[in-house]
Amino acid sequence: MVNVLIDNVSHTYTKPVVTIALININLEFKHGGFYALLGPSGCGKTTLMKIIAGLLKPTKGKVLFDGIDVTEWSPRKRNVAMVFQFPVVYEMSVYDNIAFPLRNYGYGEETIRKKVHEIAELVGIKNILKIHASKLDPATRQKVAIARALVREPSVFLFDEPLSNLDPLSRMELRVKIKELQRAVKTTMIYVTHDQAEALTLADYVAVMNEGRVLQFDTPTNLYEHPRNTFVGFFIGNPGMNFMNCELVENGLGCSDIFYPLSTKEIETIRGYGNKFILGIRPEYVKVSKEQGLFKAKCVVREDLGAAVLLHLETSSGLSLKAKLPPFINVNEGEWLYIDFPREKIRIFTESGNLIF
Amino acid sequence: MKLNILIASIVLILFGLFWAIPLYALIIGSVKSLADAIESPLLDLPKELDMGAIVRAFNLLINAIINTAAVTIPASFVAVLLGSLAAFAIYLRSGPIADYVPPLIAITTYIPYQALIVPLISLIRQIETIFKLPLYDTLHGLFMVFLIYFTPMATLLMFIFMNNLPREIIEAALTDGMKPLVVYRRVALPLLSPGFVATLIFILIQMWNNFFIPLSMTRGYEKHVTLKTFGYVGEMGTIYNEMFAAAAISSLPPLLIFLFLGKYFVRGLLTFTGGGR
Amino acid sequence: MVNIIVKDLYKRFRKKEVLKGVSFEAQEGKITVLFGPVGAGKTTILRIIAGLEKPDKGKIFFGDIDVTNIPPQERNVGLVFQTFALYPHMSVYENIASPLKAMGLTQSEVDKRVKWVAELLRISNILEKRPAEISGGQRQRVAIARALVKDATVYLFDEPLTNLDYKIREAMRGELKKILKERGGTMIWATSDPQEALALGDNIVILYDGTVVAQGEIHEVYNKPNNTIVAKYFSYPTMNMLEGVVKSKGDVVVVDLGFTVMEIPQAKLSLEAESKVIVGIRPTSIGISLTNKRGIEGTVLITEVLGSETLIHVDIEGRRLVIYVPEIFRIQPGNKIWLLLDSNQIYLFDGLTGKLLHAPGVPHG
Repeated sequence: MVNVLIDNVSHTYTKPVVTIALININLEFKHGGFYALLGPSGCGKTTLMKIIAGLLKPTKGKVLFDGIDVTEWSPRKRNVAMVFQFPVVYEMSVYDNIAFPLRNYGYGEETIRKKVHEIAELVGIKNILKIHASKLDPATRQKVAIARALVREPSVFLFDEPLSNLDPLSRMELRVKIKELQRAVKTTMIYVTHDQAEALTLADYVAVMNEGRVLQFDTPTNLYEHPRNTFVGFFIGNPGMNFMNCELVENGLGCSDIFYPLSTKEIETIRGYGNKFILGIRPEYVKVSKEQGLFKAKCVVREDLGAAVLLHLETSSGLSLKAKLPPFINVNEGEWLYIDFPREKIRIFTESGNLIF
Repeated sequence: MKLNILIASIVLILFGLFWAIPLYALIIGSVKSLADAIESPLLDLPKELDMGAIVRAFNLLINAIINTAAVTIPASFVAVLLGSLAAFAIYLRSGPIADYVPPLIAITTYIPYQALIVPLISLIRQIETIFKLPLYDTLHGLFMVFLIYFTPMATLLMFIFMNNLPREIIEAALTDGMKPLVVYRRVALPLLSPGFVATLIFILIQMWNNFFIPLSMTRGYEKHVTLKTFGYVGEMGTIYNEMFAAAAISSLPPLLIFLFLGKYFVRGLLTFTGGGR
Repeated sequence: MVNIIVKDLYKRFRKKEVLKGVSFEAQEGKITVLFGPVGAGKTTILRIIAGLEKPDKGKIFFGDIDVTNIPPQERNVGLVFQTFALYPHMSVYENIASPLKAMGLTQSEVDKRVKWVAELLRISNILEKRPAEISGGQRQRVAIARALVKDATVYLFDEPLTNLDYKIREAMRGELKKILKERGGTMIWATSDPQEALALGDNIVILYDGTVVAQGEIHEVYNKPNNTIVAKYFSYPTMNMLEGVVKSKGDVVVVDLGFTVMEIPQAKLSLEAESKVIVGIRPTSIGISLTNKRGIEGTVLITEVLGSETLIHVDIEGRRLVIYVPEIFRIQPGNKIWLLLDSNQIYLFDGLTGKLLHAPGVPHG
C-alpha cells in the first residue's frame, strides 16, 4: 500500500503516428485511497495507467512509489496488480486461479488455502471455488480476476475499465461489489474509466482528463458543484451542464434573446475577464414553470428516462438547453414554458471555458 | 535472457548458411570459365569473370521461359479467380454445404498428382479424339491441366482468407440489396486483395516450379523451363558453369516475383492474425 | 408502410434453444423497442427479420407477404449492426450511397439522398473520410445513415449505442428520437437499457429466456409491469422487490414485510391470509429523512453516485433497499437513515407466480 507520485510526466507516442498522449501530468495518490482517472476515449487515461503500472516508460517525467523513483522498474518489481477490460482468467478452477500467484511465490498449501478462502469470501465467490473458469460468465470471471489480483497484496491496484465489457445489470452489481471491496481492503486503488458513475461512486478523488491533460483533480462533490472549466461541467453530471454564450451588458448578461441580471458586485468580479462569457447551469437546477419565469422556451423533445424526465428546450432565437425534472411532469412536446435559473446555481466561465464563480 | 538470444542467433545463422552456401556456389559457378569451374574447388571465387556460360544458358532457355510464363501466369490468375468465386459461394451458405465441401476439397489436394496422371492423360486423349481438339503438347492443353490441378488449392486458400473477413460486412452488403456477385466484386474482393495476391504468388510459384505436369503433357524436354533445365543438366554432364547458369536463370523469375511482390504476400499472411480490422 | 409480424419463431444454435416461440407485431410508423437482457435473443430475431438467419420454425410477414424464405438482398430492410459493419475500403459517402447504388438509382438521385441523410445525422463534414479516420460516435452515425438513406420496409437497430462511450450515448439518445421521427417509417430498436428504451420507443416487446413476456405501449408497460421479471429488468433504477406475507384486515390489504407492516388501501383485492406476496417499490418512490427521524430506520450500506443522481443502498434488518435521490449526495456507510414508504406507490405481485396483482395509479401531475 503505497503513495504514488506522478512527477511532471509527459508522453508522446511515435508509432504508428506521432501522437501526444500526456502533457505535464502532476498527481499524487495517497496510500490507501481510491482514485479515478475519468475522461473520454483518447484522453490519455490508459496511457497514464500503463505508466503507473510500468508497462510504459514515459518520454518525460518520473513515477515515485513512497518517494522511490520506480520509473525504470518493471510491473513485477513495482508489485502492481492490474484488472483489465477483458477478464484475464486462466483455464483452471477458480481456486487454482486465485492460488496461482501464491504458488508462484512459493507459499505452503495450508497458507494458500487460508488466503484463497479469505479473498474468495471477500469477493463473494466462495461457493464456486471448485468450478472451472471456462464455465463462468464474464462478470464472474472479472470477480475471479479481481480476487487473483487482490491475493497478491499489491502495492497498487490498477483497474482499466474493468466493467466496460459487461451488460448493464452486471455492471451495476460489480460496481457495488468493488466499492464494498474497497472498504475492506486498504490498498491504494487507481481506477480508469469513461463512465462517471463508476468514478464518482468508487473514488474519493477523481482526475478528470481530456486531450492529455488533467483538468481537475477533486472530490466528486466539488467536481459537480464547482467545475473548474466547461469540459468538467459538461462531462460530470447526467446530462452535463447547459452552456450559453453571453455578453456583458448593462446590469447583467445577455445570451441571445435571454437577459440574466447580475448584482453590481458580480459584474465587477467578471469585468476583468473581458466582455464575453459562458453561462452554465445544470439541467437539474433549471426551473420550469407554466406561470412565470425569466424567459420563454419551447419543449421540442421530451425524453422519459424512468427516474426523471429530460426536456429539450429551445428559445425563439434558437438557444437550446435541457431541463431535468421528476417523472410524471405534465409537459408535452410543443408546449411553451417559463424558465428561470436560481442565482446560487449558475456558474460563469470565461470565453475560453475557465470558471470565474 | 541474453543467452537465449545468443543461442537463437547462432541457430539462425547456421540455418542461413545451410541455404546460402549452395546459392553462393551456384552464383559464382555461373560466372566462371569452364576450365576454372572444373579445376577449382566449388567455393572458390572465380579467377576472372566469364559471362559466357550465362549467355549461352540464357539463349538456350529463353524460349522455354517464354512458354512457361505464357502458361503459368494466366493459369495461376484464372485458378485463383475461380477459386475465390467458389470460396465465396461456399462462404455465403450455411449448413451442410459450408460444413462438408471445404474438407472434401482439401482431401483432393492431398492426392499426389502422380497418381492421377495416367487416367488424366487417357481422358485427354479421348477428348482430343471426340472433339477433334489437340490438347497434348499444346499451350492451351497445359493451361487446362494446370487449372485442373491447382484450382482446388486456390479455392481452399481463398476460403481461409475469406473466413478472416468480418462476416457482418458481407451481411451489411447483402442487406443493402446487393446481389451476391456484386457483393463479391464491390466488397469481398477489395477486402481480400492481400489474400488474393498472396494466393496468386503461391500458386504461380507452384506452377512455375512444377516438373511433373509439363513432363506428362509435353513431348520432349524442350518447351518448358523446368524440363529444359533438367535436360540441360543431363546432357551437359560435367559442364558445371553452364549447368549452374541454367539453374540460376530458371529459378530467377519466381525469385524476382517474391522480391518485388513479397510484401503483398506477407500482408496477405498477416490477415491470418487479424491485423488491420 | 406495413406492420411487421413475427410469428412463432423457434431457433436453436448448437445445443441451445435461443428462441422458443416468439410472436409479436411491430406497428407501421412506430418505433418498437425489442427489450431484454444480454442473450435473450434480440439479435437473433433481428437477423431473422433481415433474412440473415433462417428460423427453425415460424414465419415473418411484411404486411401480408410471407418473407420467411426471401433472401436478404430482396427484403429491402435497413439494418444497423452493433459493430457498425462499415466498408473499410470506401469513403463515408460511398458507404451511405451503397444501398442506393444497389437499387440502381441515378447518380443525381443518390447524391441528393446521401446529402439529405448526412445533414440529418450531422455528418456532412466527414463524407470524404474513411471509417478508420473517424471516431466511434461518428461511425455510429454513418451506420445509421446507411440504413436510413433508403426507403426500407422496416428499419432494424441492433443495440447500436452499446459500444459507445457513456457521454456520447447520452447525447445521441435525445437527438436520435428527433431524427427517427423525422425520417418516419416502421422501426425496431433492440436494447437492454431501460432508459434508452423509454427515450426512443413508442411500443415495447420484452424478451426473456427466448419468449415474449410483455408487449404494449411503452409507458403502459413501464407503469404496469405484468410480472416481477418485467418489473426487474424494465425499470430504472431497478425496482426494489421485498417478500412479504398478507395479513388481512377487513377489505384493506395489509402486508407484513418483517421490518414493517404496510396497509395498502388502494389495492382493491381480496387476498388470502398468510399468502405470500412480493412488494415492489421503485427507488424513486422512497423518501428519506436524516434528522427528523420519521419513518423506518435503516443503515446506509453504500452510495452509488451516478452523476446528477445518487442511489443509496440501505440495510433494514437484513433486507436491502435502494433509494434514488435526484442530486449528488454522499453519506458515509454505517450512518442511520430514515425511509418513508408511500403506500400509494406500491406494486403487489403474487409470491409464487410473480404476476402483477396491483399497480399504483399513475398520478396525472
